[in-house]
Amino acid sequence: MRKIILFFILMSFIYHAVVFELILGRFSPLPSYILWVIVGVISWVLGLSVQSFSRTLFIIIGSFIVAGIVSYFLMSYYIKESVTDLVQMVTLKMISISLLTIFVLSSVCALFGYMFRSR
Amino acid sequence: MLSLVKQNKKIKLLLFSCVVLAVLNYTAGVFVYRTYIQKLSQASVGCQIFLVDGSFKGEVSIRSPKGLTIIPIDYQIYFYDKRGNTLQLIADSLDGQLHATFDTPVREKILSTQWHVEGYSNVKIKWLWLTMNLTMPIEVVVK
Repeated sequence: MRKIILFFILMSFIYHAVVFELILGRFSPLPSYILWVIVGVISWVLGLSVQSFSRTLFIIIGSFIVAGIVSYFLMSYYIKESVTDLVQMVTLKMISISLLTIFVLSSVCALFGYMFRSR
Repeated sequence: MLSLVKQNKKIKLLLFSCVVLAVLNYTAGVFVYRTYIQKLSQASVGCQIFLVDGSFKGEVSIRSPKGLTIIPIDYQIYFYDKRGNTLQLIADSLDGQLHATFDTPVREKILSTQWHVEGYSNVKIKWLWLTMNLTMPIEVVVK
């Protein structure tokens, strides 16, 4: 149970970090694709260490939704000053496509981690 | 083949390093963004225009805060009438200089109608690893 809660919080944070990277990628030191790799690796570890895939899926979907809500509220803090350049970067298209990709990538990585776990 | 304990340790190390990287990247990003915005809000472009016997004499000056490099590109000052038509335009290249003066003859239309004035300045901003092209509004004071 503790492991599930820990992973839930961790995945929520990591998804939120991805959203942040989409909006303010220019300001963070690491390039975006590194973060995508990190999401893949963490999902893989999640699938590896949580013993049933239904729980893994529950964690992934739940934390994805939580991260979405958190990001929505934090966005009004990040883009408090409407610097036009930044607002232009946040296009709906970019965010929706990237988020869908990251969600599928993460799920597939977790599935692989689960499939090749050591029994 | 690695033993199970050793493999677990390696996986934990991998997870830990990934999380640390992500957290560092996130906090650094937030910090850099907030500092950048704070510095940018301290920067301003001011302009004083004097109407002296038939010509606009003025000075554009850009105030840049400490640590933030502002490279001005150009400035444009528009004189609009009530309906938003442009009566006169004063514009010039700044070419990296923070101060510029101009002396332009006034058009006759301006003397006879009501008008208001707006100005913009294109600047390039460099700070840490960031380079941005922004359009900053000019605070115009006409005397």
